Amino acid sequence: MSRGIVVLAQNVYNQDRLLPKLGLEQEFKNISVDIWYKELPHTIGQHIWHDQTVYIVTKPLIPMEEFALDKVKLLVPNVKIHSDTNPLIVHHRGYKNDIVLSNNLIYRVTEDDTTNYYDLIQEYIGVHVDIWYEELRHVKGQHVWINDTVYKLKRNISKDTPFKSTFGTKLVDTDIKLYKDENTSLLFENPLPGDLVLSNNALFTVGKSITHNYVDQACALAMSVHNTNPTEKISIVTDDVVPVDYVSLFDNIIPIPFGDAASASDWKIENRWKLYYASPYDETIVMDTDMLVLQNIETWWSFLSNYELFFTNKVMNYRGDIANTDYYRQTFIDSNLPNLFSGLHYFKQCEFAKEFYTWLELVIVNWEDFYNQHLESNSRPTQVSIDVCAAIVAKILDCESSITNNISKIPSFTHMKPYCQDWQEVQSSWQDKVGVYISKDGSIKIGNYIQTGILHYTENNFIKNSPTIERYRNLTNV
Amino acid sequence: MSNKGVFLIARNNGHIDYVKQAVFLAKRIKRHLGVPVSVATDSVDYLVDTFGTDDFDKIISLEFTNDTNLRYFFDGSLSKKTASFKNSNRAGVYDLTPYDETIIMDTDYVVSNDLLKNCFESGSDFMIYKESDDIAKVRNEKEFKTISDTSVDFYWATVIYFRKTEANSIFFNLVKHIEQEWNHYRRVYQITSGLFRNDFAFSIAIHIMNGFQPGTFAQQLPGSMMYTVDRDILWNLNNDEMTFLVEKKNYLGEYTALKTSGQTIHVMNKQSLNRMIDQEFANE
Repeated sequence: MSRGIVVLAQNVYNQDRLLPKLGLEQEFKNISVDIWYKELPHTIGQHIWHDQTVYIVTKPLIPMEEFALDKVKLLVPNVKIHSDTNPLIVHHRGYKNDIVLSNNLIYRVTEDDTTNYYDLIQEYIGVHVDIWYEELRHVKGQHVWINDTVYKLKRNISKDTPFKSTFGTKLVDTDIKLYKDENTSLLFENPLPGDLVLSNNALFTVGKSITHNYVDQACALAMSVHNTNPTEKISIVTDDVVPVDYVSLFDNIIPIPFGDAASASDWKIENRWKLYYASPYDETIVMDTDMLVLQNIETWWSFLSNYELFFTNKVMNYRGDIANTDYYRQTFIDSNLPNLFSGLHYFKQCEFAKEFYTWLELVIVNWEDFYNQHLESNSRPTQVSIDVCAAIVAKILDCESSITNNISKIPSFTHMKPYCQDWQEVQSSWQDKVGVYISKDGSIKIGNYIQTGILHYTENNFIKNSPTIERYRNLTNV
Repeated sequence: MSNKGVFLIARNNGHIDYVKQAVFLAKRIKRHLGVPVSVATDSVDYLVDTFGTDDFDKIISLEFTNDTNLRYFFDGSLSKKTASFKNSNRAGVYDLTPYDETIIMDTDYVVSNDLLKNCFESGSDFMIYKESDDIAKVRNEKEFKTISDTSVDFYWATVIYFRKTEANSIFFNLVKHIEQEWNHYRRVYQITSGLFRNDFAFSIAIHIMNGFQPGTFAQQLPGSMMYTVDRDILWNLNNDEMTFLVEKKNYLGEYTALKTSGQTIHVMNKQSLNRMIDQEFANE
């Protein structure tokens, strides 16, 4: 019988535009400037921004009419958009002494921010794109950028010739935004993740920055497993890229089966039921990514082999006491659900586990219907939870006694959610309440307690805030 | 066969007569536990001249010191005194005790049954109370569950049973070290008050002996530590029956009467305990 640990890891990406942290000093105080929209009416006296210029309206602007310069008076020229509540309008990159509009107010930029907020992924490698300048001569085969479009010229164009789209063929149909160029007098855009941009004569896709790096967490988990359980196998189920240095940590890197059902979700619950089908092992322990295995778990496997499916139903706090999880589990109490924690569970490839996971799929996909049917309204969660869904399945199958053990304290994990810690004064982050110390041998002390078993650290910045990765890399020679 | 007994420390502070409490407690220990009692005190002359030596197996002289460990001693909700808290030397008992098996006991621990006799029959080398019950049952007992909100489990140094073993020798030396370096340890263990408390030092030492994890170094003494705080008043004492006025929750200076029978209780209001002892001694 093969056995191993399986972890599902899906990074969460930022879909929003990232704003540089410019130094801003307000100009034209008390003036609020609206963006001009063709579809909206604009009244006399209103300040409006259109085509990099701020105007004051002198005659009513009627919806669906083109912008009329005779109905406005110029107030401030060369005004870039730094920030606006509408992410779809063009945003610009601002530099020192620029005048910018930021959330309807006018500012002067007093300090640049040259931070590279986006990862740029090069496209059309080998294609060099020049900015079109009418006063220059251009040659056949040259790629030129003009009006958010890149053309490949079909013939030579002599200087001082106004551009025509018939001069070339479009390289790509989508807009290509100007991001950087050695000519800093040009107007540069602040793009959205996913946009195609021209940056210093090369084309790039703006990468989506990772908000929560669950793959890195899974790598830390794998390193902790190898540190305390050198012969244990661990596979990762992910559609994200595993960093090259960490690939060797995993027995298998498995794509998420049946497509990604959680692409639009932050919690990534929707794919959890697929682990039964994704696991390459006869016996599988499933762990959350935000866990670290701090001790040898050989005896846990022996214990678990007595079960076809097992969920821990009690977790510990950092002091090693059984944690009171009522604060987070009111719906379990009110709806009399089995107190299952799916962050650590076990299954064998067998008919019973398959039936459970088949139901789990059904409940997750139709979670709102099942919640309405099985959960009391006063504490019914408003988003899908894997623990609640698993508990509903256990209730439907009436199998709690065969998938949990009320006596044994293992397998379990230390749950670091703040309200589980039996503190009188609880803070939003447990890391603000107690110190964390990681020794060179990888042992972790929280507060005054050396941690054993499995640490479920729950807060995504734990890995970043602590030297966990560095310690484990030294220990596992990764 | 090992010899066994109870060891008391009595160091008066000008306000509280711990020597008198020790004499009172020694009589009760003999009656209920049937083992000899030794006392260590910095007031040997006062003890011998005032109470005699009949109640004690051995009297050990301690050097007199003026401790600066000051704290309030309440006598009910509305009365308090500031006095020195002479609680050092607790860890020294390991070297001072004449017994192979020793129960150290605070002098305000009013023994009223023979439950602690079971210590000597147990296989444990070190026993102490972790579980405790406030007889009032209306107060937040959290301060006696852990030594601070985020720190380690609270153990009562009020009563401790130990055998002379290598591990216990290390343990008591560790307690001495923690006492010497108290300002360091209290910060490491998130204790905000600078007042040295044996409960805290013993709790920290147990945690360390357990390898900074929950462990089995310390076993629970028989039963549970019953206590009343010094805002309660011991109103009457008649053999093994005690009547307390227990502070009402949220009603400063108002009390509820509560009677116990055959219940060993840690009476933290030392002033009211001494009043009862005076009455008892007067009736002898």
